[in-house]
Amino acid sequence: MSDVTIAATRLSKSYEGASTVTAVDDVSFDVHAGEVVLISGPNGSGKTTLLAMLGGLLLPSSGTVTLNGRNINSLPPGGLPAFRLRSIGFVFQAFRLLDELTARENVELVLEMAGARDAAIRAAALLEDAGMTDRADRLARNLSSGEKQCVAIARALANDPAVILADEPTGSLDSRAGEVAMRLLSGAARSRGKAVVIVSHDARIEKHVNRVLRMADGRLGDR
Amino acid sequence: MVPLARRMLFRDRGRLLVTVIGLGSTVSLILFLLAVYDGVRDGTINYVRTAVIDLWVCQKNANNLIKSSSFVQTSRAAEISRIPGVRGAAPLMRIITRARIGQRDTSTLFILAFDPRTRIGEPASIAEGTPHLERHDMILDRSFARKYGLAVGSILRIQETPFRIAAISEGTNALLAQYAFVRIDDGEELLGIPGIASFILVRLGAGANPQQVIDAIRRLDDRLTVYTRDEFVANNLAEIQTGVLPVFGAIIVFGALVCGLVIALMLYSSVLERREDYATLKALGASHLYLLRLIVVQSIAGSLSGFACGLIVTAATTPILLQFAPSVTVHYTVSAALIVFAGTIVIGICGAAVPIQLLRRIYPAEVFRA
Repeated sequence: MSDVTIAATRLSKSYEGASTVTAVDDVSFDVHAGEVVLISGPNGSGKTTLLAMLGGLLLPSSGTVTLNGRNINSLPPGGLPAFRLRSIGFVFQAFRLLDELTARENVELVLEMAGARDAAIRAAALLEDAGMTDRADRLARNLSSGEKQCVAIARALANDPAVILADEPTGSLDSRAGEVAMRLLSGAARSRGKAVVIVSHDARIEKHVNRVLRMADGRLGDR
Repeated sequence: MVPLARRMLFRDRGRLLVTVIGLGSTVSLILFLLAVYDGVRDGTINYVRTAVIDLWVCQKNANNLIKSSSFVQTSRAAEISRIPGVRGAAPLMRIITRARIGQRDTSTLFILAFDPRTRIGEPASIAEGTPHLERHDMILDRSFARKYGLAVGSILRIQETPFRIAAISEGTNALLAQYAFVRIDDGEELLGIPGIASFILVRLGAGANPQQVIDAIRRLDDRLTVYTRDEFVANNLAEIQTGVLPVFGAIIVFGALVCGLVIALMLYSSVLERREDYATLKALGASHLYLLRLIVVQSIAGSLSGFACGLIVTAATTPILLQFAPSVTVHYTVSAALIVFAGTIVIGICGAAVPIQLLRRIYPAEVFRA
């Protein structure tokens, strides 16, 4: 393991209302490059809220998220999307591919958004690594769930981010497809040196990860 | 480039089709109105512009042919024709009346009675027949003739006097009324007041100084006003613009608003429906500018598709509309089409404003919703 890539320091998120609800309560941890960390816990434990804060999609009520030493919460609002585009890759339970684009175009899109000149070549290479070459020109809506998640992982890796954040990546997959998706994610950590944070309550994932963090009622416990 | 905007636009083809047809119909209406306006304008001033007349002599304070009353003595024509530099002068009488065809009243006619000896004031464009008028002969506007099924040789009655159509003229349709031309003696008979005309028309000799002739006419009678042809054309044009243009302008602006609302509604519902996709793009790191461009490109592409549809609808429906309204003259011009084209792009950009507001309220964290 090398230096800390992403770190959460005393991270909390509360929602004000008739009564205050604390979704994440004083969470601190860090993930190194090449490491795969699983945050597991029951529904409503605050896993997804934590992931959203790690990805800069949600502002914490207190605490900080640093990525390669940079506090992402101190970035100007206009600068955060560009930072996210280049530094964080996302994988979602519902895949979130754009249905009217092909597998290749879904990967190419984020490369183009980042201004890559060789987007088509890089997209083809990423899809080849994900074993999707023969499905590259199929529309996303015509792919199977497992294929969609492979494309989503290729997309997450497109701009060579330091961190991959995955929300229930096997939640919509059968065990075989889930196995393929997890091999791709853990492979990204091993061979590409990515820090991978996975949020899931799927126990089958544990064999692919370096560390498991248990979360309950917004708080974190180590194992 | 990944053609995301095009794919998003074409994803719901039914909605796009309805939008394009709606925009196309409105664009077609705007093009048709502009063509009618150009037709009215050209039809109204065409006679003044093309008839071989150098100076228009009117009663003081009268300045146009279509909407001002002017009475001058016909005897002034002889006096004016003796002014050095004048090649000829003749009276022109304007009578606004209806005709009868059998037992049926027609719509209003602008009858212009000119002197058949000098032929000053006869229309410049004769489509068929002869401009040499005998007593109770008439040159009739083509639109009017088409509307009532009249042709050269047909008879219509004006104040119980039968007139034979000797010729058909073009460029003499002012929409609200069409022009007809008769001899001055027939005009006097219809008016019933001898010695009175509406204008004196003057032709200048080669090398004559118009200003000197104008000054000489004013010295002859200071109750007369004299306009050059260009001034008189401008006066008539101004009359049309102040009278008709605001009405046409209001309808066109309303049409443009409808276009903007149609495109805004289509994109608003599209963004609403695709909320998760836009949230995904935001989460992945799409900049605000990128998303803005995505919406504006869809909006402009939809608008231009509507414009293209409008051109097709216009080409297909104009002949049918003219069958039902033969007195309408339409002049389609490239400049009008270009104005509508540019307006369509502006509407496309403005139409994107509403969905862009919605886009602002989509949060990237929505991407985690199952």
